[in-house]
Amino acid sequence: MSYETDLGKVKGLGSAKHGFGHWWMQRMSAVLLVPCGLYVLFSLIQIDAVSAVGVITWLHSPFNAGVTLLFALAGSYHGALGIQVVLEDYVHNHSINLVLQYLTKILMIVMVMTSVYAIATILLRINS
Amino acid sequence: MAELRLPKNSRVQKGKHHKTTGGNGNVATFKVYRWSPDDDENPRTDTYEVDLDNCGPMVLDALIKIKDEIDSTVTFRRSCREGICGSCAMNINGTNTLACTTSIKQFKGKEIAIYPLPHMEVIKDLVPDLTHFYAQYASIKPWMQTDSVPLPDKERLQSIEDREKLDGLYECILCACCQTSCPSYWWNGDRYLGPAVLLQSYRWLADSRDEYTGERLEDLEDPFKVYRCHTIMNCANTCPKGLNPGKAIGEIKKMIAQRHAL
Repeated sequence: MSYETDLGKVKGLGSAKHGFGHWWMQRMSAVLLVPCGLYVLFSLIQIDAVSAVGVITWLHSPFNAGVTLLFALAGSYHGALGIQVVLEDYVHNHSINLVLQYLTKILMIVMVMTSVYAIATILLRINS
Repeated sequence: MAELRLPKNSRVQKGKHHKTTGGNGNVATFKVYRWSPDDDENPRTDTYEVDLDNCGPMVLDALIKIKDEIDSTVTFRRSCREGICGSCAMNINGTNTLACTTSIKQFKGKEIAIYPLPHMEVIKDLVPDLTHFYAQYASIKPWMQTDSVPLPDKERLQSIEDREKLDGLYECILCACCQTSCPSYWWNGDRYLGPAVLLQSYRWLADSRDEYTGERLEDLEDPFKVYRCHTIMNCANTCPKGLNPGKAIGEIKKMIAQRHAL
């Protein structure tokens, strides 16, 4: 039981004075994903994407590797921002929300590290 | 978590059927949501057959006829019966709209289902609790705020071009049709201001006479207050006055972006 007024509840929330950055970066990463995604997609269609050798040869070009890396980084970041919104929208249990938000960020970092490692290994011919 | 099913005591059951004797075949059937706080019963939908030969053309006319002649316990808000007070906002055949400006004819003899505005607590039958919505509206300070003192014998002038910027905004009657059609407002209505309140917010941001644009934008920049709008656009789709709250929210986002020098 609480006698707090509705106006008190609403005004009491105040303003976090942020939110624009998240919204802006969602759009910026989306804009970046369009050309990078299309380039990677059409390139993979043209080469034999099923054979590892074909993809590795394609990634030996610094330009191809750069675009793929940009695609992977922007994709991971965009994905993490998107999942954050979904969690904020639908997961209202505070503890579960915090844990899932944390795991999302970790997953993003792991994806970024894996992408950088994989592409750098191929580009620098470390294992070949 | 998002609620996908209604709680047990809110699940709607089949109610009574009130048949009509008159009508010479010109009869419309209304299925009306009923719930009373005075007993422990689940909500139900009662069906009423209405003789259209002796009834006005709008859904509100039929509801008033039902209340007057068939079942006086049916409860709903109404006042102006001409689409300017916003009292009779309800969900008619799946769309939030005003009962007084919705014609019965357009449903071409099909059953007309009438429910209260979605995802709001129900006070009784078709009357939703709008207390929180009104508090949110009050929180944006919906009045002109100024520091400059005009001469006592002068009005605050506004050019024709500046006045035109308020078109599509000042017409809002705060009926809450858009507010309660927004899924984002359903899931986060406690913190998200919602389309109607944000359209009203923009109405004051766009007013050339208001001197508190900076403070207003500061108050709005919040992940929940504004950025829960995911441009679903149910608001523009449902607005009985033909306004576009989604566009107004877009303008607020643009104004915030400009403050960040973008």
